[in-house]
Amino acid sequence: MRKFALGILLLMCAMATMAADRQTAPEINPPNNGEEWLRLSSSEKLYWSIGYAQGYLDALNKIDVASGPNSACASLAARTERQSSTAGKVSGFELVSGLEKFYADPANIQIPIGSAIRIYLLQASGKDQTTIQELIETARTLGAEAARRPTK
Amino acid sequence: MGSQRVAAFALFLLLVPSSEALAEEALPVVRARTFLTTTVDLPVEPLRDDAFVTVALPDTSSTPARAMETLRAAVAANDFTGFRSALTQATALADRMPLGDARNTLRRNLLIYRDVEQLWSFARTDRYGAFFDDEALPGMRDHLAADYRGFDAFLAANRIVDRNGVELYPTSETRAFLMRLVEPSPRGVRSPSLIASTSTKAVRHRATPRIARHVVAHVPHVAAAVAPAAVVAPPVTVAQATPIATPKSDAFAMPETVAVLPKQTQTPAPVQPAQVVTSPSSGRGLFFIIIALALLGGLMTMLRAADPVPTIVPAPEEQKPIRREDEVVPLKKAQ
Repeated sequence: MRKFALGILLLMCAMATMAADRQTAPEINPPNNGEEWLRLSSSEKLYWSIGYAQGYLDALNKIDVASGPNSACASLAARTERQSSTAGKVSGFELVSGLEKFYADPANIQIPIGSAIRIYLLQASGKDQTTIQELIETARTLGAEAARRPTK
Repeated sequence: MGSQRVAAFALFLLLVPSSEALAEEALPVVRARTFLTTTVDLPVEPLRDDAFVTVALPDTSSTPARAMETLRAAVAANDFTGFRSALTQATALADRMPLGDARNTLRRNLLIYRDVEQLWSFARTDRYGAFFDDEALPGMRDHLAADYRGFDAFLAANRIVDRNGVELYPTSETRAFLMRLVEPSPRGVRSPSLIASTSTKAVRHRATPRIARHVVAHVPHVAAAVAPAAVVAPPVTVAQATPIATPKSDAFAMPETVAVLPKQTQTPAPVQPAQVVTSPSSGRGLFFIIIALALLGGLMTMLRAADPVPTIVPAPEEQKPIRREDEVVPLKKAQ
């Protein structure tokens, strides 16, 4: 009887430890759209933004290496991609704040987060409002289509 | 002959109106004076939309529970404009409400919602609105820590320190923390509109302090005595309710009674001051006591009359001579 009780006690301790581990283990799921973005805490948003900006800069720097110094890819990277890069333009705090404002509109909730960042950066750089609105409308359509697609 | 008279009378009847009409036609045409003939120039084109200003009027039919629900829904829907409008309406509602638990709860909640509004406004307008610090919102952190229990522990778990050692606090989490502090509206507490629609009888059943209940219960009688047209005049109640000093906890119920009465008022009647309003029940009781005393007195009188009167019974006539004799006898004996 004592052994049986000890076994149950050990089993319960093991279950509690596993449950605690499950609670503290972070779920590393990068957000795809506003719905997933808004589920993150502010700290997670900040860390994600800093990581996104660093990853974006790394990718831009590697375009030159991968495609060659004077290739079309390099000029494209210099011309367009760098314009929408977050690196050196906005801090992580600012990016989080910008995305919060962008996703505050419920109509933008399905817009992919990459598109949202680009639109926000263009908006922050002073792009005209008509262009911004067109971009937002296009991104909404794309987001709605992506949401309709079955997930894996 | 008779038929001629009838015909003449009929002709007379026919001619009289025509002669009156002729007389009317002959009257001079009356023309109005110049200042009476001013024309009203209506606008040819309709007014534009921007000529109208939207004014957020307080919703008189709203209740504290509904106001809280609207505010909560606006926060949940991330609708800042709706939130501000709801906050204005809720503030107006709190100003209109009588003193009491419901008002206190609403005002406490509104204080929280004002902090939420400040944080939300900052998040919307500031470039770095997702986080705040003492420089961005001076005094906000200390204010929140002083007013809300558990805020320090909350900040310790959620603060972010940048590379310069500056502590930053997340705006959205702080908003969520404040929203958790909002109390639901107390159960059973009714709004002013509901209170106003209830009858005095219903108000009497409410758990009000003794003095307040007394005032509520007797105001209709007073009004009926003062104004026979069944008009409950507010000045009477206010004049009577205000001077009554009640303990602080009991004082909350008084304005509720005051709030009840103007709703019943249809036409304000000039009413005598409060000294006219004497306690009718005590007057009636005194009247009954006097009548009872009078009845008791009458009854006593009747009972006394029915009882054998304790008067000195006159001695029978036969004994009188004996007494005389007795009186005389000793004298005789003495003699």
